[in-house]
Amino acid sequence: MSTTEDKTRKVKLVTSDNEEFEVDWEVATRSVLIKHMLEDIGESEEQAIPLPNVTANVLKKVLEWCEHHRKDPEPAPESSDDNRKRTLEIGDWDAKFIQVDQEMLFEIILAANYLDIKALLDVGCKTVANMIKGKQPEEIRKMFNIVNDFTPEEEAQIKKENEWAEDR
Amino acid sequence: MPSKSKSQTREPSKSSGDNHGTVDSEGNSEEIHEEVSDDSKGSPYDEGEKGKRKRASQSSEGRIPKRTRNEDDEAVSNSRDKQERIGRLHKLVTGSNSRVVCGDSQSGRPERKKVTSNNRDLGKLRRFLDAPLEIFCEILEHLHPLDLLNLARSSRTLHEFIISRRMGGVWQSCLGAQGVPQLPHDVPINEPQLASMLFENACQACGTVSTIKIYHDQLLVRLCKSCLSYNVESGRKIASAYGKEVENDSGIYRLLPRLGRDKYLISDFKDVIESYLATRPDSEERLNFVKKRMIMNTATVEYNTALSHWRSNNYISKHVEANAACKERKESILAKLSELGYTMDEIEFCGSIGPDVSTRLDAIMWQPRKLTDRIWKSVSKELLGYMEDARRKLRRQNKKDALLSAFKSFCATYKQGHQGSGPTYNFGELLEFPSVKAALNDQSTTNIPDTVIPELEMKLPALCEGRAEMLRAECLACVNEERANVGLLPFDAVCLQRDIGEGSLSKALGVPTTDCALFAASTAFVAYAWYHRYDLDFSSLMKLFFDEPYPDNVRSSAQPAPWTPPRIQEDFAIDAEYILKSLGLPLNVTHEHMKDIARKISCKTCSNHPTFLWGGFIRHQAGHRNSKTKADYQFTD
Repeated sequence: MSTTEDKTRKVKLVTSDNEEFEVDWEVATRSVLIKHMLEDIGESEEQAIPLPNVTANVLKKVLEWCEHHRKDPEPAPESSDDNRKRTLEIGDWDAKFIQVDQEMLFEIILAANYLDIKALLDVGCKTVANMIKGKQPEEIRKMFNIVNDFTPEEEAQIKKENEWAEDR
Repeated sequence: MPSKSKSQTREPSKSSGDNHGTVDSEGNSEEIHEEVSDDSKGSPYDEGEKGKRKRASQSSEGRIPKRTRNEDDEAVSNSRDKQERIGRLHKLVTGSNSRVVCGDSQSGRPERKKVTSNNRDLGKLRRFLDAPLEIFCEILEHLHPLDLLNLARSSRTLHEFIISRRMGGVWQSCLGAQGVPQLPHDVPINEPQLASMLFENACQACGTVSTIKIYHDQLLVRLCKSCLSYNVESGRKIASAYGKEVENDSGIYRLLPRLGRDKYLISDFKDVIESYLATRPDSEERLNFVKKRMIMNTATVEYNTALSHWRSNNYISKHVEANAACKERKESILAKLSELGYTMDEIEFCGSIGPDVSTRLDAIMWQPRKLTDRIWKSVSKELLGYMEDARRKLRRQNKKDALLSAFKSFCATYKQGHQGSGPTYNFGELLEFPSVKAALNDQSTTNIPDTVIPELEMKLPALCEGRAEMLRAECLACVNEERANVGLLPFDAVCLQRDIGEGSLSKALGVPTTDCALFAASTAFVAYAWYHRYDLDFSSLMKLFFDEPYPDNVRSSAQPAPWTPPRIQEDFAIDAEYILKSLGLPLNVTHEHMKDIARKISCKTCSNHPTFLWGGFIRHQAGHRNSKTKADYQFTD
């Protein structure tokens, strides 16, 4: 439970490229990882939190998202999380926010996963899922830049079978 | 290749374990194969039906077998081993009525959806093949089951990876997101097969893409109507191929789900019979087999019920969602129209302009697609065109309503002052008034200018006074002029003849005659009103224009036609006088009288002595005149 004192507190974050960010406690604790780390270090305000897996430009983007969602309610526990995946709809602001190039999208997803920001990870994964949505295998191959290594016969066959790989 | 892992690793799926393998850019997954054999332990599919599922090679030379039922019947004697190697769906047959969708019949390659050749998306998601497995699984969990199937079909490695038991959790998650009831342990298909059965729209036997509306989920297969009829058969008929003893063994009919009273999927039933026969009667092996099959059967039947509920709930919720989306779009459009200054009256009126406009409005407004700026841009031109038209027409209608109200009030007052006779003036003529015309055509105003109605109230009494007499004189002048033009005697001269000759006869016969040409049997006017031509006597002509001076509802009916100068029907006069002479009647007999006695007249010349109305006799005589045949008319008894 956060106190009023917590909300006015500033948190220092250091990225893998040694850039330091000072952000509000409320913003930083959108990340479960940072929240737990802050709990571990206690009241020590001066101590910066190292984020060795996140670069400055990605953290900047992630913090932009955290800043916008700072007042959002705490995410529900994992078990009651089913509805989260029921829809691929993304809010207007998030949709605009995630309109980035492939590299940045990839990095944001990695960072959200590392920092344990479920809602942001969801936005990223939904964005990728939306790109795949409704696509035929040929279009998907194009998106992933992969080669069709099925023979025409195999293609017809796998379409019919769908047996577990372990049973084939 | 980055493969960061967070400090607090989340399980990507129930069965994916803590695997951190990655899929490389060529679609090859490392570490995936290592765990395959471990996961296959303890599978419900390993028992009983295990042999059926495992194929020695990649399915019988990789072709989709197309067999007819006769060939299939011959195959009964095939060894069990051979059948076990063929996948379950490969055993389905396609009949002569099934559509074959193989684009290239020689290669057996199925026809694929044409994919646009632009390279816009090329490599757009390439980086994600380098993602840690847990993230890749997280993305997969957001996919629709159909998208997951398509992704699995994009490369051999992705197929191996996605269609694997350890991805069972991902599959369950994807299916669960669509509300599909969880697949029970004992139903003998896996989640990808379930996804294919529920979400793909092609028949699993012939591959034809069709909307299948009758489901038969208990057979664990989706077939088109034609293939269904070829792949299901009465249980007894299938069993009879294995001998009387098998046919009469009631136990075998409870080992797998049936369709209706006793129809079974032929291939499945044959498999079951053969597995059953492979065990010794009364052996423990047979008892175990029967027990397992019964459990499987019960689970499948129960799951079928759950799927039926899911389908029906799905249908209802889709319908409700679509309706809500349509409503939302309509409201958005109405809000836009309102913002542009259109009133609700105008919007409602637009829908009532005509069936074509109404259909188009419905097509534009009642759609589940959300109204975006782009959609608005594409539909607004047409929509605003209708709205402008509606606005124009509604304003005109409202002005007409005001005029009609004033005119009705004038007519009521006029009747009071003229012993109940209405004015010889109608609403159509009122609309021809220059000031009224100008007010109606002025699109900028919504109401009739204040000066117009007082002006009408002042002018109308004077216009109506003596108008009946004036119109009568106009018509009379027309008759006299036209009679002279066609070489008939002036009507006054005709009246005089009555006193010299036939007149005495008419008196003797008591035939009503007239001194006014307007009412003579030989006088008919041509009138154009309500978009039709009418041939009328004078009284009917007046009724046509003035009997209904205003319509009951100016919105739904057109106003009466304004009076137009009449024209006499010349041939009518010539033919009428010929018939009257032939009958020995005076030429000034009244039109009214001839209408009364027309049915007592017949044509002597025509063998069948037809009888007509007076107007009909005139047309009959016109026929004789045109064919230059002499006709004689007589009174019948």
